[in-house]
Amino acid sequence: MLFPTLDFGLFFLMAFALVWAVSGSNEWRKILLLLASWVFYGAWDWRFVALLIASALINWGSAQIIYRADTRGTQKLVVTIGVIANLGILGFFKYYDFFLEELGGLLAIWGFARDLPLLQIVLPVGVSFFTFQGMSYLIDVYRGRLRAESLLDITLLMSFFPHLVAGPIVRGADLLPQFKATPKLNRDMVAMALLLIVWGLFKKAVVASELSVNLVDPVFFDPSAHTSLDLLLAAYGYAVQIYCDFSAYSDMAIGIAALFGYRFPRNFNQPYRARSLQDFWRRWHISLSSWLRDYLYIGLGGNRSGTFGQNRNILLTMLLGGFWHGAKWTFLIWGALHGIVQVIETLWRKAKLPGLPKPLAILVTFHIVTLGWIFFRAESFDAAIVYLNGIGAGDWQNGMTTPLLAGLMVLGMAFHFTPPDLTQRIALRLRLLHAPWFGLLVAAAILLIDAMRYEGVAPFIYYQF
Amino acid sequence: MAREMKDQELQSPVDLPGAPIEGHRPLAWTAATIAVAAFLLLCANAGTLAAWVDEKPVTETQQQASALAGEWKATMDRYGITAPREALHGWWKQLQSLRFGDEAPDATQ
Repeated sequence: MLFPTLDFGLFFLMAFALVWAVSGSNEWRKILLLLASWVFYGAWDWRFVALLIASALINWGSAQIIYRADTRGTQKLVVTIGVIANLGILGFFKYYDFFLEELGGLLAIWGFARDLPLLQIVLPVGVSFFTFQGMSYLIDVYRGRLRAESLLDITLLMSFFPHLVAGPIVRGADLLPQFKATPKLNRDMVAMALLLIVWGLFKKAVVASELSVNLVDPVFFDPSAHTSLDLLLAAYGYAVQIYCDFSAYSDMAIGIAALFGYRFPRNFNQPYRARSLQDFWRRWHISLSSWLRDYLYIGLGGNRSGTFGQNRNILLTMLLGGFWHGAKWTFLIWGALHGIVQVIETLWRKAKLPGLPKPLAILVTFHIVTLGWIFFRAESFDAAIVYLNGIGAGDWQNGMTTPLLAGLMVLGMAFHFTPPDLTQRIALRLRLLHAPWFGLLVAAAILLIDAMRYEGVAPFIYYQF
Repeated sequence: MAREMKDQELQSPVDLPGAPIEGHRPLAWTAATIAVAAFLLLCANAGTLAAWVDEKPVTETQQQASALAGEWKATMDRYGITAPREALHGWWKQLQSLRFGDEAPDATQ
């Protein structure tokens, strides 16, 4: 059930009416939200609802033991087992076949070729998101930052449908306190919520879909059949597409959660106006980068272990961040590129070398990010190399980019250079409208988007992670 | 605070600057806004509804729903309520068909 579909629209209307109808009881409200979330998740595959419940049970049970344990040793043992269980779920569904295939390749090289038991495992949608969420809850309880909460709250934390399949990674510290009482709506959050939903719909259904179908997908499918200009523009197109696709999901998730009265943290902040890769990661998928910082980078020693240690920690964090996206070498290379550039930036800063002028720094950062996207999007390492060689071939004929596609790319980049609080300023005006006028505006905006959207809606890119 | 976070992480985008408008029955305002939007879309975007029903697996209920949605669309068409959406879609198709030169001859238009 994708957000920008009528199926989801009807599901949302029913859930909204039912949940607010029982809001006299916070417990019943949460139970209904939980059931709605399972219906939402079960629309992909009912079997994985059981996995979601099992994952919640593991984290709830482990947290209860940690919270009640008398000794630090017991707490450490249980948190270790809990984290391993979460990683086990992630590893089995996401990486089992990858590692076995790689092992098979190595054995063949060493002359011990074997038929290894590949399982062709179906990847549960959103498994990377809910396992990371579960782990952060467990670690926060271990670190004494959170209390162990009820089974209902933990299951809802992990299952709550707006963030379930593609984030943001909403931590226990963000959401659990909001589950304590029936939330209250106000016009501010509703105005912003509806604006975010409509804005997300536009970015996904119009910009990302049009660029994907008519430029990015055909060029990346067969890079050797396209000119240098097509390859270059498709790389820019993918940079715009992935931003419009993923930030659209986050915007809609934040907006939908707000209509139920819950606040999700910001997940994007105009990433392509970043002046460095470190700045980029403070603006792109903020819930993942802050997760990696708090639970991995700092856990490894952060910047407290000398220059060598700090750079090693940056590189490891980015490599694992890349691998989180999927079991492919191209994701590791993408992570390594981001890690290496951040190491260079750290060394540059420590050597007190002069920085680039702001516009040049933004331009250089954007092109490093776009280079990374080529590996991220390519089917394989070889395909990425063919792609890069094609850009260098020097054939500057336009074979793909129409005025509309060029306009959408410019628009996708222009979003980054508007005032950062533009949507909030618009929402401040919308909240003053009478309901019928606001409803008319929302309907007109959705009608306009529907008239422009590409036929059918492709899944969000981050569903596969 | 459970952990140290930077300002941009702490804030949810739905928390607007300044004092929020409290009171004024926000749930009723929200429900009315959504209801008006849904009703207007049901009328002005009747074609999308009919197409959605037609895409569902064929059952007796689906066929009844399809007939109803078809009648609804025909009624909205008759009164010209779906015309704005069709006009906008036509303009968008024209934009899609624009070319700089002879690029993308096979692209979907």
